[in-house]
Amino acid sequence: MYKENTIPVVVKTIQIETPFVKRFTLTAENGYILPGFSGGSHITAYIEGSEGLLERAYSLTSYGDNNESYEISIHLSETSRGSSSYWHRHMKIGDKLRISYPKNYFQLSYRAKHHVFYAAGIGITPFLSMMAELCERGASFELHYAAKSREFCAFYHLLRSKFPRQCHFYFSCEKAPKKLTYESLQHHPIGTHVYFCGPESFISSFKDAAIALGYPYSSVHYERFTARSSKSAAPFLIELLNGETIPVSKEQTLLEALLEKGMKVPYSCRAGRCGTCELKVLKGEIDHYDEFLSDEQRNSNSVILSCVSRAKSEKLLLEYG
Amino acid sequence: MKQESGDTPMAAFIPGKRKYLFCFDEIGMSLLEKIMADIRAKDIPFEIFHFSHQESALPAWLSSQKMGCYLYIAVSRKYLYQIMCLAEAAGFSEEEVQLIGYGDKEIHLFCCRCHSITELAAAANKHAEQLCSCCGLLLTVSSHYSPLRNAYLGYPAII
Amino acid sequence: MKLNELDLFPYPFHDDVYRYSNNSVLMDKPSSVEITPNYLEEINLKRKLLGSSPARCFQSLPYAKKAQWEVLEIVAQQLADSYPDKFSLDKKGKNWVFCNTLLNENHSFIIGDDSTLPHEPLDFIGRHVQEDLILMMQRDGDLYLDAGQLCFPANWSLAFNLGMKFKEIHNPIPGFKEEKLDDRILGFLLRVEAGNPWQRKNWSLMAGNRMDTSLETYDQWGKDRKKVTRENAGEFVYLRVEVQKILRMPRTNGILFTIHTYLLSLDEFCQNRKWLEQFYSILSELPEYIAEYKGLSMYKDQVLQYLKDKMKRGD
Repeated sequence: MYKENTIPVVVKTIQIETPFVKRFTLTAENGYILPGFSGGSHITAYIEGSEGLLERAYSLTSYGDNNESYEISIHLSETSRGSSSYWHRHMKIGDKLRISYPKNYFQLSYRAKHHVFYAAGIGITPFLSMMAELCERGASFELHYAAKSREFCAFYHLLRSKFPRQCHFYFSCEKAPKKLTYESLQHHPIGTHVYFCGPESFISSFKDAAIALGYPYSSVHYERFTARSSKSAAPFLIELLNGETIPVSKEQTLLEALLEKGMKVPYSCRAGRCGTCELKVLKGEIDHYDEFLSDEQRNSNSVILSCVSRAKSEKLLLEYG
Repeated sequence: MKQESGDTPMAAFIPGKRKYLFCFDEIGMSLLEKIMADIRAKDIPFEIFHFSHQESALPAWLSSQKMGCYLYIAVSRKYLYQIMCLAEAAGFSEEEVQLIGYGDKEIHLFCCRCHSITELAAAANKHAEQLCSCCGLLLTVSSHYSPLRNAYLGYPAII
Repeated sequence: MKLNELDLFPYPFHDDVYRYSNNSVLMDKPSSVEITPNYLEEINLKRKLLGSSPARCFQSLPYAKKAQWEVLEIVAQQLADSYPDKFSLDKKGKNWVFCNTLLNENHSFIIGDDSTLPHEPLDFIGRHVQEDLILMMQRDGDLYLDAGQLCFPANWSLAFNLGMKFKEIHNPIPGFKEEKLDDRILGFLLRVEAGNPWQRKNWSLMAGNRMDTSLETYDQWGKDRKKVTRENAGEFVYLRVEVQKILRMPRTNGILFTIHTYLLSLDEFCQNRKWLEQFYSILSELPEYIAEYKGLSMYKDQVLQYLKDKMKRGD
């Protein structure tokens, strides 16, 4: 499977942002400068926890020319499966870990005339670097940010001092509660791009409202952080059109099993990324591990990237052979 | 924004928008009649802009619109590119605009050798070979189009 | 000691049948450029072409400037890291000094300040590497060719393709759209991540050993293809291989393509018996639409006859 190159880093500072959010500064272990990044970027952090390797994505909340350190901000989740709880309860200054290079799947639009960010809770994190980049570009933007109260509103003071004209806060548990609704979506001028980040229900309600108003899909952006679980591989069977059945052991990939049988399946990257080894599936349920297929293709359960993906069911019938 | 290439322009109704905008000239209006009638019948908000009457007010009209609108432009192919650029500058994306051009279209030919652009008369046969107006190379018109140059690539006709 | 060209040649095939595909592989050792023994010769040629035909060899759009600086940074840093005896990059805050001992040149500049460089940033660093450099910016979910230095194109025009989307650029390739390869490769490129660059090889045949096979000069070099015979193919026809490296630039989220072009005459190529045999099967099976697009249908038969003669003689 795709195994990315990582950067070894050290925790340099830990600061308390709110009762539930801590900010961590990371510097390169070898003292090198870290790669630059664009607004909306995140890193994947790899931590050796007691229950194995924890892998989570965190937005980079610093921005600018300072490439000596990265900053990430982590909300302690009640239902944490270990990662945020590890960061909050065990991580110390001087601890070492590995992180990925910066990645950006939440890029700012280039053609937008105006950018509007909608954040709920810790969903604020990707917007910090995005707003900083827009400031640098001299572009027009505004932020609508919902939190329980000032006390629980991460980056409240920073936002107010850095972007005083652009920020609008909505505190639901203060004396005069204010609710962030999607009513404002009606008033954005043509050429506006909207960005949503927060809990799943928040994202989907705002996204649905924008689409219902007639916003084109390409002007609506959102980011979800869903951790991909890496289950242990199980053996399965494949059946070919010619009736032949081939077993795939748990140590083997589907592609390897086919190649071993002398089948000339085209392939290239063997990492679930290039799409060359795609095969059609007629029957059986697929466990997708690739980064290539679209959600639509994935859900159709009709194509598989044989180099990484496997069967959920006992057997897959392939349109091959 | 895609320019339809067929000879019989057809406007297609795109449902699910809060408001529809129609920009047209005399002949263009007739090409949008059916859709405008449908929208009237459904009681969906719409606005019209008569291009031939108030050309200079177009940028302001476009910029005053809100998100969720859908724009139809039905004009002579002479003005289509120009209006498309205005709509883009106002913030309309490909997904929010439909272009319906009528009449002959001027073709711009990009010379692969000297990079000059030769304007081919509206009536010129697109498939015939053409001389580059600058360096004189005989070119065949390809279907490779550059939106930035608003031109088709011309390859050497004789090798 | 002169390294054998055969040993350095990036053999492009891994199968007896060739079709268009995304044949990218992750690079074992990430790099953007490579220095080969032809360095001085090719740099001189590049600089000559850039001087005589600037519009053909360099193009950029205004908003790509920040990304151009990132290209300079990535390439200069890698030269200094990979070839410390030939290049150095000294950074004191924003004041950088780049030294190229192969050319005996020192350049001081302020990073991000265009006025401190003799050329635009990508054009500047491109004059120190054998590769052509193509910058594709990722804007609104698509990739656009927004800047590039191209001295050794395989029959395409940078000036025409400037500002185009990935799929628009590849529109003329027959079968590319029909087989949805354009969608697939675009999807792949959009997911290329920083720190994990990819590499692919592309090939074609050339009548003559000209590196500068631009579309702009096609009316001159295109004729040579009519001169190929079974007898002269060995020394006149060259296999042209482009090693393309694909890197995500983390700061501007663009994609940098570097293209290193290698030429090898068929006579030299055929010294490797396995290559000769595999290439013969590929060429004899090659569908007409691919041969046509690669510009070799005019002399494919002559080359096949030549390869056949070679195989017989070896028996």
